[in-house]
Amino acid sequence: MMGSNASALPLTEERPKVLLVDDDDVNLMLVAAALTQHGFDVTQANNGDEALRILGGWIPDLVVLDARMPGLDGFETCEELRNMYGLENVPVLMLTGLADEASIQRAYDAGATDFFVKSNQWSLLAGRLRYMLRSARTQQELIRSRAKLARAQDLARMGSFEWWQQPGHGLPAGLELSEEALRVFGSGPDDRLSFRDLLRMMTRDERHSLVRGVRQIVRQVFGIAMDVPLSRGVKRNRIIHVEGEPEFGEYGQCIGYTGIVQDVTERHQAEDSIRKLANKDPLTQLPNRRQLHWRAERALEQARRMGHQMAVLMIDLDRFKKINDTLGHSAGDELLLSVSMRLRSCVRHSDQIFDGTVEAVGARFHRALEAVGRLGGDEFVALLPEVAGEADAQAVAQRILEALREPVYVADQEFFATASIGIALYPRDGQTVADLMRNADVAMYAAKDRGRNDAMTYSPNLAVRDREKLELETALHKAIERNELVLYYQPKVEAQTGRLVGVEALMRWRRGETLVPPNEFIPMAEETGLIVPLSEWALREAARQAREWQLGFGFSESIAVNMPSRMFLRHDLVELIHASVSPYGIPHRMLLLEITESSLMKDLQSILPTLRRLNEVGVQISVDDFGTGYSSLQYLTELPISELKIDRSFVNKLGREPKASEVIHLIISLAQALNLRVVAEGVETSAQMNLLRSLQCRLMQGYLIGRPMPGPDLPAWLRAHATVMPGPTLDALPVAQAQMDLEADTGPVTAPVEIEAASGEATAASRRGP
Amino acid sequence: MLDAGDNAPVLDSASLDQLRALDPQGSSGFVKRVLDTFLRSLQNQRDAVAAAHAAGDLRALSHAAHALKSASASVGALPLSRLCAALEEAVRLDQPERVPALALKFDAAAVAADAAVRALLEGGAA
Repeated sequence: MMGSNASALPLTEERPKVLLVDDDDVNLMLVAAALTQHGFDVTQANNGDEALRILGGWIPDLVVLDARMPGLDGFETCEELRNMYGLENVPVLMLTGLADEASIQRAYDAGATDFFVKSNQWSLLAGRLRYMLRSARTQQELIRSRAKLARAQDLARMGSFEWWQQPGHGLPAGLELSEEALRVFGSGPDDRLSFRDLLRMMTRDERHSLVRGVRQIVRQVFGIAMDVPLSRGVKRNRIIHVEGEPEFGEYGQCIGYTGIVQDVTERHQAEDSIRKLANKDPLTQLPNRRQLHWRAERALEQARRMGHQMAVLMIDLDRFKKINDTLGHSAGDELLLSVSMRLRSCVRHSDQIFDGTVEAVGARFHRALEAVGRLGGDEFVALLPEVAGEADAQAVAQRILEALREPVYVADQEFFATASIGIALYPRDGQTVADLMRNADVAMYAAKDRGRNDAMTYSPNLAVRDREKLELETALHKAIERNELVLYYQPKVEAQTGRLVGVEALMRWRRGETLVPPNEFIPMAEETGLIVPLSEWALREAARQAREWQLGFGFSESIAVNMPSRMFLRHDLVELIHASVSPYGIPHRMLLLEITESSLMKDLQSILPTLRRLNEVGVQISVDDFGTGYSSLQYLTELPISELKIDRSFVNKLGREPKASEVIHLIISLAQALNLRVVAEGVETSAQMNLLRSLQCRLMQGYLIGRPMPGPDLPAWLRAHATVMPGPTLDALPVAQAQMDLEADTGPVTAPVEIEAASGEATAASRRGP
Repeated sequence: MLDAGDNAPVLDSASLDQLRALDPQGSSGFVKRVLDTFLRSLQNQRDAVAAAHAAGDLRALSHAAHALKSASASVGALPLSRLCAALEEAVRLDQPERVPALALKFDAAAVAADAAVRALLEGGAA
């Protein structure tokens, strides 16, 4: 009959440990037997003292106490054990003889969990004990989970709150904060904080906006979710997140709120730094490309809506790459930093970070978008969200150019970090941010082309020119492989005798039907680095031509190829020349290299070793455009050069400006002293020729003598020239005709790849005879 | 209040069955040990009641009666258990005049219970 109850405790569960205390042996025995049978593990004690002694070293799952015992009775024993460590929450069942109210009350007062009237119904007792055990475990779990929650809240700097409303008032009347919530506000567990105390932790403005917000939330019975800044008190400069849900009374009215408060200062800081990383240039702390685009988009929306103009200024530092390359990146960074400081002082720069989370509010909001930002490298942008017109934008651009006129000190050196600026205006120069940026860029490049340190406003022809330039560049890449390049040769003669002393070659680009003059593609070739393969090709082609002429009519003078300075900076220039002449079996001296005076002086120290090696293998050096640079005489005496070419500007002024002949005279005297040849370039009239003769200039070149011509035409020119040339009385070709010639080599040295044959030898002359 | 007790059997068989149910196989001699213990307890408490009665110590008398009350009920000695309860109640309700008569009846019931338990033990019914 009781066997069926024996399985009430699952077998898998450990047998609960019970301490059974009764002064009567029979009872002890029977209850113990009954409980054992129902799956309990029973320990017995005969009186209160013995029970307490056992509990001193062992904690059972349950205690069953007989209420009435001699000595310490059940109530006293219960009181005692509740004070013992670890027994505060152990369930205690008090066994009483009668269910009288007084003993029941006494049992609870003594800390008993429950009472049970003695009977022989053992299964009832066992059932009661199991129930107590379960409820004790549930309570234990509740206590543990409360502790866990408290700890979790503590870790999360979070705590709970409850507040109850005064009817019709709208502000919290009674505010209850958990211990953890108090800690969030910097208070101890025993402190009390009222809503008013919390308001005191804020500034006036913060207070007002909070009260306003709360009133509105309460009026509409919304959930609370707000971040509240605390600027005053112990928790100065913290941000507290408050989240709560309304509680409703029996009639469905809102009676208050319960929820949590959490210190989210660190999270805010983390979010802030993420936003900074995403929107600021790490070096200069200026808005980055992303942030600029965002601002520009907002500014554009506003401009469109309000019907005003806005401006985008593209700012690019001149020659920054050179500073970076020569001084290193850290110096480059320093320079960028200094420049960025100056740039931001030129506009009403706003540092605030905007992104999608910020609402653009107010008619004047766009003013806050004004800024200088960095796109990357040495590219900056100034965004002017509202301008009255082009003049406004130009004024800012001039302010920027002015600000950059002061030198910048980087790595103990002084630099002039000038910039080129391109301006594009909405709506005139573009309807989208992308268009405005691109057109500002086009204008900026135009400013660079105009000689840098300048500002230009966009105009549609700039874009056309830009596009043409791009096409040109692409085509030039292919020009070499398509054999579109040709060399034209201009003779150079001895003034007194008319004897050919050499030729100068000019590069031409046969592009379809047109012949592109060098000043239209050589600068671009320099810019893009294409000049290197172009120069290599010119050397090979000149050598080939020299060989052809050698075989054809015994040509033995030199052809000079004009080299950009970067070719001299290469260590393999000598090898390159060797590789060019070798296939044709001509001597090295039949190639002569020209370098402009300005590029020679600029990189003199680096170039010098190459010049010496060239001299050693017989390649002579001619200095082009002489008189325009700043050669020091000191250098001239030491340089391994053979020839000076007087710049055409002096020749041109001959007879019109007395100074010109003085300069030419000086150059000639100097050259004689240094034992250098002198060639006058750009001789176009016989008057010039006669003056040059009188100044003792021996060698000449120019339209008067012969224009640049294709290689195969040279023999014919030689024949004609031998009959026409050079009495000193020879009349000039009409100047006008010469100037109209597209192929004129008059452009001062825009054609680096010129070739000049200039040899002091008299072989050709003697062969041709007078 | 003792009328029912007068005619009731000294040992209640249903209570004894409950006792036996605690040791269904009877292998451990559990019932015998309980009954032996009861006899010892009965002797002790009888002595205690007699001594307390003689000394007029009602508190001690009540204690002894209380201790025997549930033990005797457990072994089925219900008349004895009821007399224990009556003694305890008389003391609690402060009715000392009822004690002498109850003490006599208690003694008789105790003797009867003792004899019945012993007979049970000797008969091997335990």
